[in-house]
Amino acid sequence: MIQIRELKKNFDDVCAVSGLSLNIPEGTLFGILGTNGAGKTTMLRILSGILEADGGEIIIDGEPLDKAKEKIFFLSDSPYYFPNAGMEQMAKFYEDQYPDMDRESVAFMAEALELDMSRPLRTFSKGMKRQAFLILALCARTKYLLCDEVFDGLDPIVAEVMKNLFRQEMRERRFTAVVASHRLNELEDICGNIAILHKGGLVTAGDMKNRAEHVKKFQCVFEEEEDTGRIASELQKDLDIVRSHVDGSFVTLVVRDKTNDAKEILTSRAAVLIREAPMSLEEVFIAEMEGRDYDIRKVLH
Amino acid sequence: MTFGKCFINWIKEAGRGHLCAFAGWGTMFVYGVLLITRLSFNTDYTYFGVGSVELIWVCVGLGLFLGFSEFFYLLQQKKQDFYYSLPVKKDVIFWSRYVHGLVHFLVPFLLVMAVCGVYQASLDMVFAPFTGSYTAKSMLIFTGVFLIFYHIGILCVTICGNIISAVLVCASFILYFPVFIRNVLTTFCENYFITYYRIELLEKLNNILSPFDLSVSMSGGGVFEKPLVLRFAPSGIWVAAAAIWILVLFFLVVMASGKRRAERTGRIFTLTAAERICETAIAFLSGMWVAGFIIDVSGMAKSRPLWTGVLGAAVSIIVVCCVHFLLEAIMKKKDIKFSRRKWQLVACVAAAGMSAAFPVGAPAYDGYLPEQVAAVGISVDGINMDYDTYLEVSRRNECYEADSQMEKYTLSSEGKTAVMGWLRTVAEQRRTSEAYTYADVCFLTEDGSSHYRSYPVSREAVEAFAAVYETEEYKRIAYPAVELEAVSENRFTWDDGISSSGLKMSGDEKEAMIAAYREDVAELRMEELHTTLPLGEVKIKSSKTGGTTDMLIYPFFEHTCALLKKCGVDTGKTLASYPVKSVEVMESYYVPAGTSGGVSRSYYEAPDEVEEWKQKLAPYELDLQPLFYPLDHSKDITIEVEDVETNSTSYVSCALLPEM
Repeated sequence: MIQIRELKKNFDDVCAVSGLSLNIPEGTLFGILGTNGAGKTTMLRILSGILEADGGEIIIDGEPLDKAKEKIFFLSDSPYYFPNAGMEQMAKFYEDQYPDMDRESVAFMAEALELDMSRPLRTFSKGMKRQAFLILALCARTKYLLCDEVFDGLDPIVAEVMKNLFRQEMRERRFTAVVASHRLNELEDICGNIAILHKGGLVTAGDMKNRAEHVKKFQCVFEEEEDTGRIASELQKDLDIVRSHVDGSFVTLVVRDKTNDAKEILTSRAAVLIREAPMSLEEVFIAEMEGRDYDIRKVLH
Repeated sequence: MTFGKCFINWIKEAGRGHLCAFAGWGTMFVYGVLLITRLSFNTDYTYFGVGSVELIWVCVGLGLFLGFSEFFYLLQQKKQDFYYSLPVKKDVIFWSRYVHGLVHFLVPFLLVMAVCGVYQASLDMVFAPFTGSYTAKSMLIFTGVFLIFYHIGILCVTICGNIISAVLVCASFILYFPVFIRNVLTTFCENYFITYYRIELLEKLNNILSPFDLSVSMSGGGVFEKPLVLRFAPSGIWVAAAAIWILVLFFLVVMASGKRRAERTGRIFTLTAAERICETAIAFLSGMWVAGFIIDVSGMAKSRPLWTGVLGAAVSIIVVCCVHFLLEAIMKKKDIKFSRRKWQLVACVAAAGMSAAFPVGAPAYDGYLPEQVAAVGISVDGINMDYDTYLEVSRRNECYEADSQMEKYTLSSEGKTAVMGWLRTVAEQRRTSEAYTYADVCFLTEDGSSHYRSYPVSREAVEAFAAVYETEEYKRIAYPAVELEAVSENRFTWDDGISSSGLKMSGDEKEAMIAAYREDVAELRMEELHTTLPLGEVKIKSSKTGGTTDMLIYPFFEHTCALLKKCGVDTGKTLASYPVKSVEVMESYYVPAGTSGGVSRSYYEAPDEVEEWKQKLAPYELDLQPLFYPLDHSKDITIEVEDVETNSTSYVSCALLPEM
């Protein structure tokens, strides 16, 4: 488990991370979400030991960071590779640094993704480089893998391939991956836990789906089309509506329903059809962020 | 992984690009091959270690190159992030690079030194006894030179965030003190101090504070003669200075590497302290440099020292402030304001203080005339020197000839007393009298230090110099033949500036001639030198050492001239007595830039014209008292002299005799 306590980092007059406290549980794919300048990369660079924090502490499995560096692999958004080095040479280099590095797995996964191990990495496309380094990162077999914007700018197919690599590795062994991104859609299908950073601080963190258990989405049809708008506004008084959308006699409502009586209230308002629809992570986020001083739209698309 | 294994792994890793190995081994291989080739041809003036200027440059270049290339990752954000993200301590990466660079210099260097030492010993019997000591000394000294520049390179890369600033800081670091001492302090001294000649302390300071000059001093870069080179040992002060440089730089490297922040890579400086020190130092130097330039151009420092001091202080303050603001702008500070760096005022105060200190301290400097000295060296421009030397010292832009004169005319007994007495008059007149010539003096104090002064000397003071000139001690130096003994086996040759001939003399005649010469020199009065040129000189070549001593003969050296006549020398024979075939006269005159011409060449072959010229000329070689008996050198004159006996012609350079 990674425990971050009151982490602070300033770059001259700019505060990059301000008193950030966060627990990253073991065995999860943990997403770090935030706009550019939110402090995601700084946090990851501190976690990986590149930067030194100005304040606060980082505890990894009960040990301070500098004693646990062998457990961490940092995969930056544009990873460094030696001039003319191929995957084979990089794997060999990483083998000297990470004792559990599995070069056979590297070869196997590279073959599966049709990546030439001996070809210089500089000749790879952006997507191929990302795949290659993700393979190297996963095969380093570290307990913690920190990934910074690894899906950024990739086409959906390559992004999906990479996500599958994560999933496959998660199935094989218990490790923790921390993936930072500025887009929710890059994280929503692989990350259970997500933390939102803003201006160097933590906005919220945790398993959003569990935390939004009481938030429900209803799709309703009312009998009289002309009364639909009026009914929707009247419902504001009875229900804690997060978001509503009226389309003719069709109304979509996202409501906080802690007492589980929303369906009854809707029935009493002469709804002909009431259906509870599944919530997307995006909607969960909107519900979660409602009332907080954070514009969630910045990270949605 | 144990620390040792990890460290060795990272030393191996440091060699990934093979650049440092290539530079270290390649350079040393080329140097070794060239040296062995040169040694095969010449072992007398080829030095592979101490005394080799090439090796100084190799060590300086390799030190800087390896320092930069080994630690170049510190200037590459991506590579640095990559290394720092790995499970290895930053210190391990840093010091493994340090050791890697050191190894790739030391191993090939020591190998080349050893091979060259053995090779030269096999060829050169003179060198053989020195093989061990010379080779070991070379190894130690040049390792020191390398370490100074290696540490400078590392320090610059560590405190800077990008390659441009690192190179600029490195250049500033190496050139700062030489520029400050040679261009700033020396300019101030030359302008404010009337009696400034050179200050030994400044020269020592320059050699200590300039890494390159220190390397040259320490490694015998200025020693050329083989016996001296083989026995060369750097003085303690240079060794101590080099050790301090190496240790202080190492300490700074340790500090800087510990405090360096990865996030500042790409900026001009990675450490705030380094930024402040560099800003202050550069602003201070700029202020002083410009103030020095203004003072030099204005030329008022000697006539109006206090006003010039105020001007210098004002200029230095303004320039310090301007440079400070400029540097702040370059550093991309959001709000440039002076108060942000309050201690920048230190630079202003120091620059202003130093500018003002010179005019205040000038009287004390100029008034220095010690009561007690161990010896005094004196050189009066134009006295006892040939015309070329006179020209050299009169230009006053280099000290070599005047230094030689002072060293030669170092007086420690009655001559010293006479000089000190004469100098008191000269020193008193230094501001009031017009300079007819200059006297350069070196006071050698009891504690072994040297204090140099250069006094303007009036015509009257030159006449008063007779008190010094006529002392026995001074004459012994000016006329060294008086010191000769047991000359019967030596070879005597008469040279009148046009032709020379051996003197057929018995041993007794030779001894008698020396005795007569002693008598003549003892009777010599300085005022007599105003009346005539020397007739020529007797060159006495030692049968034991092979060295030659010149015995200058004036017409008023009656005893010597009488003996010369007895030996068949026609002391009355002048240039006019020689059969001259032609006279070539070359004159130079000013022409505007870009215009051809400026030289006119005339030939005179008609007997009457040649005869006329002969009466006006004297051999150039005899112009040995340019101050007392000045010849006219406005024309370059060469005469063609016919030697009837050998049926040959010779060409003699001449100058015009003064018009009577």
